[in-house]
Amino acid sequence: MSKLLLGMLLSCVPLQVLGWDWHTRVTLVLKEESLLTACRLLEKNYGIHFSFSRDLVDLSRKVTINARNKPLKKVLELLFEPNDIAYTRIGNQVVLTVKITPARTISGYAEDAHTGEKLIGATIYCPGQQAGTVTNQYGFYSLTLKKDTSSLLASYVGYTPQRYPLPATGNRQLTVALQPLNSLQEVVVTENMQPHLQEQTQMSKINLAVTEVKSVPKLLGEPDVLRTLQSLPGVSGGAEGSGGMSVRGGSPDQNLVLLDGTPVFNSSHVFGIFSVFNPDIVKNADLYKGAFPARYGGRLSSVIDISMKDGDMKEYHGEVSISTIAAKFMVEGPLWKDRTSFILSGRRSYIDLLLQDAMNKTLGLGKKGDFYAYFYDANVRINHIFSPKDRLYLSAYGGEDALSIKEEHDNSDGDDPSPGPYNQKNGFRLGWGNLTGTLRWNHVFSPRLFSNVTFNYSQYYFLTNYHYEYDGITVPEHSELYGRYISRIQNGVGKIDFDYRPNPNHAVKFGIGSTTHIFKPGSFFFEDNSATPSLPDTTYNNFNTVGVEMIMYGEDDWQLAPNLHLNAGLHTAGFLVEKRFYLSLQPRLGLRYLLPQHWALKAAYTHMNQPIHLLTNNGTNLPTDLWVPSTQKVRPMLSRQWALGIAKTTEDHQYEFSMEAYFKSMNNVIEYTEEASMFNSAGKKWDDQVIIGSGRSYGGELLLEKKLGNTKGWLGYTLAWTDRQFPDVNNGQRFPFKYDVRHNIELTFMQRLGKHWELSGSWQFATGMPVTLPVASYEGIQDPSPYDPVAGPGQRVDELGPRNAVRTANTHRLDLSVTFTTTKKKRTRTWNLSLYNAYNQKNPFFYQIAVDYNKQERYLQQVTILPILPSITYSIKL
Amino acid sequence: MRVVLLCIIGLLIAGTACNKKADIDLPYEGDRIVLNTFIQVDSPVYIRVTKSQPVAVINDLNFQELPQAQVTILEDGAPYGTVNWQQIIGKGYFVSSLPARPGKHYTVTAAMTGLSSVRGTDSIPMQPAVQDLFAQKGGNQVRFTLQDPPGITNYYRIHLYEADTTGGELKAKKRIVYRLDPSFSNNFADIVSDAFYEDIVIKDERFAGQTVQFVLQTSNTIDYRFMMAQVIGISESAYKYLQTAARQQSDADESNALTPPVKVYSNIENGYGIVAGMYAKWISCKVKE
Repeated sequence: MSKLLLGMLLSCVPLQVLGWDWHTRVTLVLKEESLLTACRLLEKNYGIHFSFSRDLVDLSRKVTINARNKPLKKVLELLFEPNDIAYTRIGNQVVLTVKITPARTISGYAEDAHTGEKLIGATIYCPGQQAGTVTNQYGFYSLTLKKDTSSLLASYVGYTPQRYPLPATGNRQLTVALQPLNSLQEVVVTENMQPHLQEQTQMSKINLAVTEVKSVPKLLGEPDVLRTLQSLPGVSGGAEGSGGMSVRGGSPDQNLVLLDGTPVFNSSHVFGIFSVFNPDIVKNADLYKGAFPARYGGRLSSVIDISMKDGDMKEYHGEVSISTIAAKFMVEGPLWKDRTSFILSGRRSYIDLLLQDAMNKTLGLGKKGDFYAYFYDANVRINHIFSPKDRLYLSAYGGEDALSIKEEHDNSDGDDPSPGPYNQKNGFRLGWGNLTGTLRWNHVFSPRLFSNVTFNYSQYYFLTNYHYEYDGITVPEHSELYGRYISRIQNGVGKIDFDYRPNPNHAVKFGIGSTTHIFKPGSFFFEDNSATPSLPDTTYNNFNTVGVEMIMYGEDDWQLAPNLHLNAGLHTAGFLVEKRFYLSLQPRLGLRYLLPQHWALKAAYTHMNQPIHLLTNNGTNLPTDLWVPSTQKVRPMLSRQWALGIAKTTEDHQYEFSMEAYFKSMNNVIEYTEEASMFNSAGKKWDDQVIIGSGRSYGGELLLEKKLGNTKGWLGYTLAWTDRQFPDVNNGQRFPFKYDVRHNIELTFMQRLGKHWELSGSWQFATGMPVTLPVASYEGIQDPSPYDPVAGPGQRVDELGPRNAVRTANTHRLDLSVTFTTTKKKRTRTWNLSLYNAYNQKNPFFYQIAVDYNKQERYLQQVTILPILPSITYSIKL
Repeated sequence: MRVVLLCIIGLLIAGTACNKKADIDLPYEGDRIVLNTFIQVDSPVYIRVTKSQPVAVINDLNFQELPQAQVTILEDGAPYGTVNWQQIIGKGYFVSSLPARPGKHYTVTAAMTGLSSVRGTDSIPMQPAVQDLFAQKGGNQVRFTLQDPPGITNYYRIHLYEADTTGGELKAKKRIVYRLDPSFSNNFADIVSDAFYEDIVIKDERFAGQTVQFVLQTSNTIDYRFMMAQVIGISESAYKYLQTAARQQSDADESNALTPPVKVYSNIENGYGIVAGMYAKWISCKVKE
């Protein structure tokens, strides 16, 4: 009882009467209050006086603390240690000073512990200092800490987070080898976990997990990176079944598609239905819709940066699969264990092989005729580790769409005659595709300075050749013609990029590079070995134009204040072509401010410049489209984009939410004059047949994504406007661009059902696209005089109305997919059944004028080309 | 190449496509005067003046004629004769009293109460220098030589005719369908697709300023006695009109989804149609037995 009375008495007596020491127990509960407030409370409640210089010690930083009855020393440690403030007792005061500790840098690579595959975007984090970084596109990280720490935490989705102990002091090189969560499953290197959105200054960027590409419903059984990107906000694929991709109102040629850093000019097969990227070898895909980092340039509207897998450093693996239209394989493994790996893949469509006889008959090619129509891809990559500081990557890609027709008729063969008294042979081949090669050397100069040297080559070509032989039987007529056409663009790039982390508040990237473009916009070659040759010259438009682009860039991700980050960059580009030089300075600015509740407010302003143009019609992009350099009249395209948004990732990485608004202006965009026919070749004066205008696009995007768990998926919504303005179109008035879709909703889900089954679905809705319709009909004319020997029947002409003034019907579509996977003795078999357009919605592909003779009227007819399409894919992985 | 591609895509689309009436009404921007004439040297000028109509209306090419319209012709800016309304082979024409002349510039106007007045203008191009037409019976080839004038862009239109003598005079009877060596037209597609035409327009970009031999392959074997070729020098306006009109017709016939709708070239102010100059040269030959 006496002890109780004594306790009550003491609790009523101010503690300062009794003095204090480091063991004095104090209670301090604060939420988002300043350090100064904490000091004042301690002084008021416990008589602890603090002495400090306001100029040197910043006590405005906010802290949250919940310390109840803890020793004073512990409480001060919690308050001041994270803020680098030292505290010492001098007399009856606590003197506060700035703590100066030598920074240390931990650097190295993050990789898969089983395969050695480098992990892009893995998070390396020091919880004690709330500091972290992510690995770059080569799997390298560099983390400079203000003070010592005993361990680092590394994490990556699909892998077990792991803590790595560190030696007491000094810079260290540390390879972070993470274990896949389920080693029986496919080694998931493609699905990465970026840091929380609120921790990234970068906005308008989407990272695509390639496992999602494989999970979502497929068209004709082929998983597709670009098609999956088209189901995200801000990305439009145009009319259903067409392959063009518009990002924030840009045209498809304004997208920079990179494969291992090498531009790929035509990223699709079969007129845009499938992309050229075989998902089996894709490690990572990033889409930038705006807020472009300074290291990217050369296109106006987007960057799609795709990285190939390195190949397993430890064991051999292989995969074979067959879908409704194509078969493919992939093999990877070590050439020299833990030092050199390779990956090789190939894919070819096979429908033509099944239909060859039928096509021969349908096309009347004759008994000796042939018909082939196919596409193929081949990828190879070799990765060698010379030392912990030096790595070399060599990769190549080749892919083509091809059509080959051989027709042969011989009148001496009664079963296979020509249509007339002659023998005829002709062969025709048409193909287009890409060839790329990349050599990259990673070198770590110091723990804070990483470099990458790249040499790459890229070519896109379209070629045709024909051979024609004609021999009259009854008269001595002989024709033998050979013709060839080729259009091509070639790119050679040399560049060096640096990644420099001088201190925790700065992440600097800089580099220089040069690109040589060689344009051949359509050359014809003819040979005439006939009895009476016609044209004297045999080539036409056979010239190359060379353009050299030089770039220099630098950017710094800079922490201005605890809640405020700035990413400031400048991309400088000079383009030299035919003695003309175009210089552009392209600022790239990004800002991030951390709001309460861990929301980030982000803003960005970027300029982009594009010195090369694609000559295409304003309907659909075709493989025959021609790349040409800027000219005196057609100057480089320029865009300016503003973006503002908020973003957040929940603490557990389950959900991501982002909402952005943007405005983009585009200058020097081109299109053909209205009466110009499509080009087969772009001669020296191609720019006389194009008109030059401007465009703008603006809107908002919302993305809610569930990234973890048995149920994954996303909900996206886009509200957008995009228009164009040309002096000679629509009387100079703005008109909606062909990709102007007001509302777009995408809902995608993936549901794992037990160990073997996965169900996925995707539903898309878009309001109508703009089309141009005729507004009147009138009589045409064919001949000058009604007395001409054979006057034609006349023609009805439809007068087109204002450009894109009418909207098509809204479109929507549900795709479903179910996947069954079994694994036995390291052998994984997968069956996938996909249903494209599950409820057989008849979405418009295009419109045409048709005639209803019963009603005696012409009407607008909607043509649908993609009905419900089931497909099946089987794959086996070893 | 593009044509081949479009054919392939057309086949692909045709394999899966289904059609239905769209829930969109075809708009109409109101009545306008349509003024059409190809002005040919040494011939009266035949002018068709009709009225436009809604797209949805079917009329079997019987557009409403406007015989009450006031039509004038100016040559190099000065009035040139008179025009009279005439019915010729079931159709109404305004026919000039004087023939068109080489090297002249013509303006045609038409006015009608209740409709906006229209006008169109164009020049007469040079007459093509062609000769040496040759064809052989039982064969499928026709040849002639063309000398293209240097220094300017020239446009040509070519017609081949089966011909015969009537009253001692050689007369064209029937048009022959043919195709052009792709080295002239840069169009390999004709070789592959077996496409033949009775009317080809061509620009001289492949043979500017040269003397070249045209080799044409006919669709049917030559089994007649005489042949005529009409090679017409046409103005740039005529070239643009014929090209775009043919493309619009072809797109409509082939349900071409991949090219944008073709706007047919017109040089008529406040209305529709075309006023274009032409200068034809006829050559003929007896088919070699």
